[in-house]
Amino acid sequence: MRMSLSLAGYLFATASIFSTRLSTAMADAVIAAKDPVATNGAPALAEWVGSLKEPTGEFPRRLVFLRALAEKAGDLPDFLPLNRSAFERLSYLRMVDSKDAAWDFKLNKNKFSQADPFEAVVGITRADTVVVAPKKGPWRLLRRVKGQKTVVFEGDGPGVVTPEGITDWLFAVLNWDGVVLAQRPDYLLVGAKSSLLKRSEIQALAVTDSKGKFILAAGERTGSGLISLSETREGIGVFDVVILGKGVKNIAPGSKLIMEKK
Amino acid sequence: MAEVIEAGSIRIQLDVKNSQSLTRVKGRTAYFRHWEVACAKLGKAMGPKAGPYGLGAFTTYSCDHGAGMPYAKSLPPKWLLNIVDGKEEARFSLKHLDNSGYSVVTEFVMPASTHTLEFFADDEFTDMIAYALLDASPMGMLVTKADVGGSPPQFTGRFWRAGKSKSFKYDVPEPPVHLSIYRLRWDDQEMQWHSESIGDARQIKVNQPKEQKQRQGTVLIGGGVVYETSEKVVRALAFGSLWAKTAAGPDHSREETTKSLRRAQIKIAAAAQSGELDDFLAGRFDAILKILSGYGSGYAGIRYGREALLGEGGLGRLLRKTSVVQGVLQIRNGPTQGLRYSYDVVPRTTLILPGIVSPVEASIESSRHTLGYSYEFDPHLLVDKITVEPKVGAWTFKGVLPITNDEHGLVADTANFALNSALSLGLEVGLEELSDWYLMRQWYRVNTGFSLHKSSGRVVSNQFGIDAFFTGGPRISLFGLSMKSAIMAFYFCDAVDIFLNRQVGTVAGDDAKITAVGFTVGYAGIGAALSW
Repeated sequence: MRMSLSLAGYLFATASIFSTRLSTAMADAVIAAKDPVATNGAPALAEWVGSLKEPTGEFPRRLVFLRALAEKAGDLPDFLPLNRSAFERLSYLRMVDSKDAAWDFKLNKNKFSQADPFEAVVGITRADTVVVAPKKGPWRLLRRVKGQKTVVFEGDGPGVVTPEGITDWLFAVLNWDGVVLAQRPDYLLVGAKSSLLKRSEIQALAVTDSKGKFILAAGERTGSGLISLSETREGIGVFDVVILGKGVKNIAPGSKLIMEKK
Repeated sequence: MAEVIEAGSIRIQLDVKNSQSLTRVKGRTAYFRHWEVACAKLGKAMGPKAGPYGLGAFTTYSCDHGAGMPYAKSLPPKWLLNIVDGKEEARFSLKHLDNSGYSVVTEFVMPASTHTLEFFADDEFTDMIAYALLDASPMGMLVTKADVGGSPPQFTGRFWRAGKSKSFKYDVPEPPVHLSIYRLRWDDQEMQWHSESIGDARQIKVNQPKEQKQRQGTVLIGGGVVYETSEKVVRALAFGSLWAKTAAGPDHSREETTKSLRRAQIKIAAAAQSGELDDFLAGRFDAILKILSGYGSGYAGIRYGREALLGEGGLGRLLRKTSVVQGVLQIRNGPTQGLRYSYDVVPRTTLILPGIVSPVEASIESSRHTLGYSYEFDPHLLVDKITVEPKVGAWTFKGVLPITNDEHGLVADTANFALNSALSLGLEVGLEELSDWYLMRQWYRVNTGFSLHKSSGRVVSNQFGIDAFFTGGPRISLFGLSMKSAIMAFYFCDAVDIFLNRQVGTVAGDDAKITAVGFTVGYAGIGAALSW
């Protein structure tokens, strides 16, 4: 069931007051509104994930971790060894297996022998986000934006280079907790950190006009709707739409979510 | 859509359209008979586990000489090996069928020969071609569930030389030590290969083959390269066969492989050109001695070089002005094979040097006839040929050389040094590297000459140098013979010591007698040759 909301200013304010409102004034209403849909034919998560097409919007889906890009065309990049299955259990994010990728580089050497090292990595691994994680120096997130290699983030890396440390670091850099992967009437398929989705009764605020933003600005917390978790499996969850902001018809795939942390 | 790459079929096709120039020369019937043999041998050598070190990806093969007759109505095979036996080159292109048609996966080129298809009568040569193609392809050694056994799990690749003559004719690379084991897919949309790495394998031993005497000679039987892998690979094999390939990746050794193949081709081409291919295949033909049939049965040439070292003092300045002219004749085939003759002349060179009293004229000239006989053998390592050449000759040297200078560098005294037709003995050791278009030779030579004249003396010369001989020039008809022209380049360094049986001066301020002079010259130059 969807509730239209006329008092947008009441519901969607800044992050600093988000948690308070969600946990106090809104809580009863949210839960009351959620109950019927939670037991009323929410799409089966497995089926939905299985039929998921390439979602639109600016957000990481498939990452490749490198120590360094190759210095010149045709050379093999230096892959960061990372436990893929452990990493993928922690969130909706998928990562390129470094061993497969290294071998794919060798198999496709001729095709990419003249390509720019970044383009070669993206072309061979099909990663949408390249994480360059040197042992010393700043870490960088690289993406192809409008056909161009773009550094979308450059700064300190995580304290510990483990799947957990990197996952926490990534979401801290992105400055959001989840992303809408797909949309069906009244329901959203959401990708987030697994640890967040494990909590019961979790609600999330969809941030207005965030579909095209890879990283949210520090104070960017204006909401366009409130959603509530109905089913989850690791880093993917089905949320039902609780309320939408004034004039908001739907929450588009690619929209970023801020989740209740407590 | 992704296509899982498993062992499949290949069509081996002779591109007749682009090979026509050769078919005209050779006559169609014989040519296509050679083609049938070549295709069959190559098809077998590219079968699963049949290639060197177990490489092999094609369970079946078909042969087509491009006329479209036998296979026009059949579905196009996923894999095609297109062979252009052209006038300029022989090109082998391994192609894969994708949504844009046949795309080249790998290819390599050999210099053209009117005998290219005949080379495939040699299993060892065929193995090298198969290796070059398979090593560069994304597939490798097919590993099936049945191949792997034991604990820890092991499997065995074919020993390269298994089934071949004991006296192997070519250089081959070592078996890979580390293998990557993977599943392979082709993505038609992305137009690229994707792998799923399953595990690794490590070479643990090489079982040497046994020797078996057969009618055609001693043949190596069995043997193998044993690899140890992991249980993970065994589990994955339950879901289908896998590929194993050197962990360095496809085509990692192209340069080395191409070089080996070129050397093999030069050897077999030499045999074919001499009409002795059968002897060569049976190991009764020493290809290396015939290898220069590519350069003819011999060659004669003339070279000119200038002194290239920076000499000091009056003698150094004199030597700087010198040049050398050399005539060379080498017989590399036939009854007099091995004979070498050279005639070196340093034309008379003079230089007016400032003296203490008045300017003095210094001069130098020499000539040397040398006759040698070259003993040659193929070391099968690093170089193609090692030569050892004893020499005998006559050496004439005349010079008025500055022997003492004052503290200002002015010539205090000169002396006559003369050796007339001194008998000369020498020994030369050479290392030769051969290609289809050049011969590179490094050598060291020691000569000593002595005169029977009582007032004369002896001379010792230590030389080392490098000679290059580049073929490819135009053909010239001379004395009814068709000769090939070639360019030569050389550099050699010569340290000469002349000892006289008489005193020619004294050291200034000392009573020490001067009876000898020593100097070093280095000549660099070019020349032209004709081979027949």
